[in-house]
Amino acid sequence: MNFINTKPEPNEPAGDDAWFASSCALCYGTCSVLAHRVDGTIIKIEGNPDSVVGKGKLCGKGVSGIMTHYDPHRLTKPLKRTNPVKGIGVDPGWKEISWDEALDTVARELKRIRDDDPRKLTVMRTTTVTASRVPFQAFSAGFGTPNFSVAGGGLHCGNGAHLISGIMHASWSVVPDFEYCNYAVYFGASKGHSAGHASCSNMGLAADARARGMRMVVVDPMCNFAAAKATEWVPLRVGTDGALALAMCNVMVNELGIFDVPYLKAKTNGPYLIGPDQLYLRDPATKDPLVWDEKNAAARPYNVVPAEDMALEGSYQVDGVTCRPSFDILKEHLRKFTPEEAEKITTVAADTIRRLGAEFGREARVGSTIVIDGVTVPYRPVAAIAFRGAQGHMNSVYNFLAVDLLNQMVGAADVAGSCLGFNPASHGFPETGRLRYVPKAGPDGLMVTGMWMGYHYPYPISEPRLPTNLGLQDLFVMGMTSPFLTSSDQEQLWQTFSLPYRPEALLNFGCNIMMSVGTSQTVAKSLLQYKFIASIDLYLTEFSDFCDIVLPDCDYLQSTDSRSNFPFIFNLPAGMGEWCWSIRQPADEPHGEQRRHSDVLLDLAERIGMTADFNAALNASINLAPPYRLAPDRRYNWDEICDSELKCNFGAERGLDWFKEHGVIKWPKKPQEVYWRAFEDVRVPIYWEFLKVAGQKIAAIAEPRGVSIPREYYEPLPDFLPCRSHQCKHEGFDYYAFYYRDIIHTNSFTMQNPWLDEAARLDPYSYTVAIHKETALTRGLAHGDQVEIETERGRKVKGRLCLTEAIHPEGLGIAALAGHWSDGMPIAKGKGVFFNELLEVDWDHSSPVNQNLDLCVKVKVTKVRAAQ
Amino acid sequence: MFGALTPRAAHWLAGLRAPAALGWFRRPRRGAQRLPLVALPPAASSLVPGPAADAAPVLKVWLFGGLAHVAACRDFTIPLDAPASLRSLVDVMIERFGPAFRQRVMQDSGQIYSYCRLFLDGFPIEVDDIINPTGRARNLELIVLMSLEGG
Repeated sequence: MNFINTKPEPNEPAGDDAWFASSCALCYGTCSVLAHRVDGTIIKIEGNPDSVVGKGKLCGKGVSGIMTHYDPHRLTKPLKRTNPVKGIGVDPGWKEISWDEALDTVARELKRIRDDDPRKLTVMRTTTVTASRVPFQAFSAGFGTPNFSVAGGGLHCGNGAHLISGIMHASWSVVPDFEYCNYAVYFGASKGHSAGHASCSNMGLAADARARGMRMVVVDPMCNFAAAKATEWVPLRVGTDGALALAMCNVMVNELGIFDVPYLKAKTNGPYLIGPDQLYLRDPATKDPLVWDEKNAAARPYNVVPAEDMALEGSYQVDGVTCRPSFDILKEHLRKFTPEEAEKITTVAADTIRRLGAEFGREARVGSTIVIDGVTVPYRPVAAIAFRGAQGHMNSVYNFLAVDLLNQMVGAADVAGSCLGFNPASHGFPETGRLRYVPKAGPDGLMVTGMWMGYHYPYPISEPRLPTNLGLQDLFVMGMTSPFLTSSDQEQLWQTFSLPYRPEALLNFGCNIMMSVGTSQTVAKSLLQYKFIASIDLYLTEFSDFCDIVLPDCDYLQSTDSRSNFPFIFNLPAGMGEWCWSIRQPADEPHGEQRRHSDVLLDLAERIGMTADFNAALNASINLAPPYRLAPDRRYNWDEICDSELKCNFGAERGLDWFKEHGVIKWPKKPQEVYWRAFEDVRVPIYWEFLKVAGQKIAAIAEPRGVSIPREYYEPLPDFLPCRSHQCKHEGFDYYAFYYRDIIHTNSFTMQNPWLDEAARLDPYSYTVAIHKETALTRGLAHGDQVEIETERGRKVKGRLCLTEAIHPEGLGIAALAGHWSDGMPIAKGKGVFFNELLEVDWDHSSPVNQNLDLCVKVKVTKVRAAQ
Repeated sequence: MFGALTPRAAHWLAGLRAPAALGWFRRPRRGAQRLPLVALPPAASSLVPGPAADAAPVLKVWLFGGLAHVAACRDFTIPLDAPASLRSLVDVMIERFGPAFRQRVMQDSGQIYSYCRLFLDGFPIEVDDIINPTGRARNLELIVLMSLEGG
């Protein structure tokens, strides 16, 4: 299909009728769309059937994008603050100014900081617009600051999920191989049933899988988007997913003896010998981990012993040291997770746990193969996946790892029917060889991802050191995003770790950090320390109250991006099919004085005097190769940069104009790419020896400074570690409050969209507080009652109850991120519940491993007003 | 080929196809193949900031972003009349620009950060690679590309 490539002009004459192949940005799923413009007005947005990203489908949010695009409350002119006093609800006294004045002001502040110490700038961007990663990451790198934030993104959804998906599957996230999977267990995940990675593509794939007969078990405190369509919903106590997964592993491995010996020997560190110090035994000469060579009855380095000869179980003596293969230790470790003990933690009946473990093991068909496109590959048609729900806790790492151990025990990792990473291996675009990446063996033979969002790979982890970044990730090296950019104890931590500077300026794109991280008072206090804040945004939000300059952005229907999706571990559906590269192109002109954020950054860079640095960072970020590399001394516009990237990857004849006309480019996937695990010589860690080592090194730095590092978080094998909420014993605080991603909304952004707001108002759950019917009635609470929800720390929000049987009796479910109070978003204002107001943001409520915030909180529910 | 199967598990698995090797049991490689090590790196004192002569066998090093800031230097030239390992050149830079520079590019263990990206004549280059003289000036670019994020 070719698309009419008519560049929209102001005052478009009658007769204009054009379709534009582009990409959605109502969530980070970035599905491919077709925008239909008639007489200069976009009248419809639908899925692009030519694209693999979305597969022609578009969700309710996507089709509602028109209402965001034409929202009369969108910013159209640069604004300058006139009231120097900042605070929640304090009127900034906005004054319209010219772009020149605005950019000169921002550039002057940023140049002053850059000349002094570039690290004093924090750059923040929303993950909703996936394509903004490249320009903002490059701007940060060019500027010279390591302080880069995505506000609530990561902290709320990815620090565990992405870290462990990267270490175990070489991808940003995991999903069942819908085409071949027969049994999928979802732990707090909604892949194929809600928003997010490859959302619309996965919806179709998941629906087809269910129709084909794939059994789907959803483990979740709430029966909503995924569980409602599942074969079985298993309600569990909030934050206890790890305990359930470990008990299922125990059933499989110890009670039934089901595990994939060849896989564990060849593809994991299960054979590596572990000494009494919990560390690898290493070859004295090469320092490589040792395995027990059964054929030669000797300990030898893992990389000289054929995998089939490696011992997986038993106890051995090596130079007088008693040691065991790590799998043997794991197997014993699992024994303590009996279904009966897990029942006490999770509330899931022991019989159910035993059945689920047995079903997973049986359906795995350990040892079987299948022929796909003429290639024989291992066949393990089971998958256990997790996402935001399971990993959004202090025990984030262990919860997610425990779930993945289910896959690892039976070899259901990146083979047919199994748990797949999103496209971890690509053999590249055939005509140019570009975009080739495959996982490779790193230190100790463990897998290093072939592709990652940036170059801060999940493995090998960096050496912990005294931090020089605001988020302290230099020390807590397994953290991706950090709570300490906005935490209540940030200054105390910075002093503790002798941080040599303090932040002075914040450049934001699209984040509403006042709502997206935690309690507003804490976030507000952290923002007040900045001497200067500039924001590029669509609306005046709650965050805007703290800004000095606000710049009006173009939205996705007015923008160009050469990579609306990240290649290919983020939004391209996993499994067989086609590789697909899509772009974003404008279907409409800017309204008023709106400008594209990427071009604004290029302009700012020039005014600051850092064009060469920005260009170099862009070259590095998107791997431009000669002759398409950007020259250091030339000022480009964003369209030119997009054109360079596309030509570099797809050939000189396929630049931006070609893509605007054709929409996408596709080529077939090969089984060797999709089911790469059998073809690449890499291992993954079922025993995290490196975590033990990291914990020791972190403690050596932190503890002399008075920060205690809880060692139980740094053990090589996963355990169930309770969240703060599980330890709350105060009378009356008897509900575990949590929030979930509402299918109708994206973060806090889409409540301003009138169509989506209407849908949310019609939905019984979107703007209410879900509570178990029976327990509510026992407490004298009725459907529609106004209640106050209070934490131990006295944080409070109000909401209206929705009594339902579709939630765990101890759970209190709040949808999305509502409860706006900004006048700049009048449709959203006053709707729903602001859950994050209940969350503490500090060291005590963060994972000491990956810095994930604890997103569950024990609360007391008090009736304020009875239902009318 | 299975683990220690209980009778119950064996019953379930009865009738399934016998496992095949399928590449699980590939012969291990003896470490990644690496380019040979090189001659000694040029001494720090041989660094001469300034533009490279077009035909001279030199390596022009470009620093961008935070590296240029801590080094207070955008570019400098190193004679390149013999093959040099990139690691040795980075060591020279660290010696010249001090601990703040080192902290940005290298871990305490001596490993270069994965997000410190290096390009030789516009193409990515690994730290253990060798830079060979070509009879003309070559360009080496360094930039730190931090990106910690979720979503």
